[in-house]
Amino acid sequence: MIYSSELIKGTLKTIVLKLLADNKKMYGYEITQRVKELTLDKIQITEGALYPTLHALEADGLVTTETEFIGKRVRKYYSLSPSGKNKTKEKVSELADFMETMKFLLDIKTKTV
Amino acid sequence: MYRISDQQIDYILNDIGARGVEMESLQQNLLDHVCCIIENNLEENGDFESFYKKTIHTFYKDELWEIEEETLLLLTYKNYYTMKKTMIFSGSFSAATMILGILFKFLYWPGASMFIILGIGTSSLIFLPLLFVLKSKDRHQTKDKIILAFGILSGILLSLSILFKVMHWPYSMILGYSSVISIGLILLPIFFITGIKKPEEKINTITISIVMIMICGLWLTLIRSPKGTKTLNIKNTTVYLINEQIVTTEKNLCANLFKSDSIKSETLTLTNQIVKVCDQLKNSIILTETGVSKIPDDFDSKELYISDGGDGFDENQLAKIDSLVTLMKKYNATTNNNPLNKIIPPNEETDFAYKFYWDKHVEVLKNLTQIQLIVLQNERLQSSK
Repeated sequence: MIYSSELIKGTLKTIVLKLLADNKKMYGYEITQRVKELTLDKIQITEGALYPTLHALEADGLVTTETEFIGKRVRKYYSLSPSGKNKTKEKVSELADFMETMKFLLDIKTKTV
Repeated sequence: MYRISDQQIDYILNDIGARGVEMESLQQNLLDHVCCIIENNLEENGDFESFYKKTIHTFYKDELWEIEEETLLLLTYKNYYTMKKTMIFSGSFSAATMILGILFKFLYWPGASMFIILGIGTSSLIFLPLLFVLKSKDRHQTKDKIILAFGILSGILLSLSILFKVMHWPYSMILGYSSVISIGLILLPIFFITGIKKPEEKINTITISIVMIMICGLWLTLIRSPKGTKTLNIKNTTVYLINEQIVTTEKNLCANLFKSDSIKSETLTLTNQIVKVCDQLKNSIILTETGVSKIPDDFDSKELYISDGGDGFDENQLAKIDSLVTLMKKYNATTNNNPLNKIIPPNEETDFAYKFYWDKHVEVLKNLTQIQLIVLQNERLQSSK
């Protein structure tokens, strides 16, 4: 099953930030492939969603970029800025908390005694 | 693994540009991305072009430039949100102050002009410009943006012109005319011609065009035509000259009284002083209005007019007004026990000077003449007894 794009949209920033926190520097294609791998194809980030998000993160100063020439084309590597590192923690814990709330709200809490 | 040649890279980059992606960094991102996919998935002797077309198609729903649009939206979203909030706030604020201003004005309470300035100022300097920025996002064609810009700019000019007019600030007419000209001669034709061509906007175009014509028409109806202003100026100036002639005659009639026994009574001295101060004030006002100290008989050919709108006094003039009012109050006191005409109605005595401060020059000139005539006639009345 592939998750709907609406679900991905709200969490994409967090996903990207967390990946960058774990991998130092990554480029766009690499990010999509890594997510695919880690989620066993369940989450497939589209180009149309990824690049706008990366640009927004850059504009907010959360990620920095460096470019590398691969033959004639340019590859842009993204890595976290210091403020991006703090933001990642914030976003991850916010999402975790959100998931707990959703479990409760939708009554799918794993039943523990 | 497929190897992409430099020509193919140029081909892809051109194609991305041709599909409407203009941001360079986004172009580079997409180029690298598509190259990675091709290199990893196309067989060494595969068909590059058809594989590329298939791949790039998976990037978007309808058009590739959607990605750029989404990027720009995200980049401006933050500002967009604050601007929207500021627009709503400034709009509500200006509407509220405007209503208060009008209410105060009609009830003749103090503070009306402050509210009106705040209301019109906020709406034309904050609300309307923000409205333009936010609305222009929805207009994709440059032509539509220009039309919107012209519309908003004319609106700003028109409301400022009305504000300047009621506050008696300079250049209100220039502001008003430029706005009406830009609405009537530039905005309206462009708007009408572009709108009438689109069948779905035909009715809208016609109604909005009519509204624009009505706005210009109402404004032009409200203002006096240049010819009308000139006629009024000539009338005012003629009235002044005739009044001067009457005062001169009256002075001549009284000349003997002043000569024979110069300091006969207190009123005679006061009369003398009042007539003099009135003359000085009138001359000074005439100088302000026309640039010359005495209006010649052929004023029309020299275009020396007393205008209808002139008002406000400099420090010297204000001091003169104060000393005149003091003299007049003294004069009034002496008339208490005899049947002479008073120069200040008793109920207006306390704030008589204010009547002058805020009145138009043309009215003040008439008032001064009346004062001179009353005191001079009083002298003649007394002497004839």
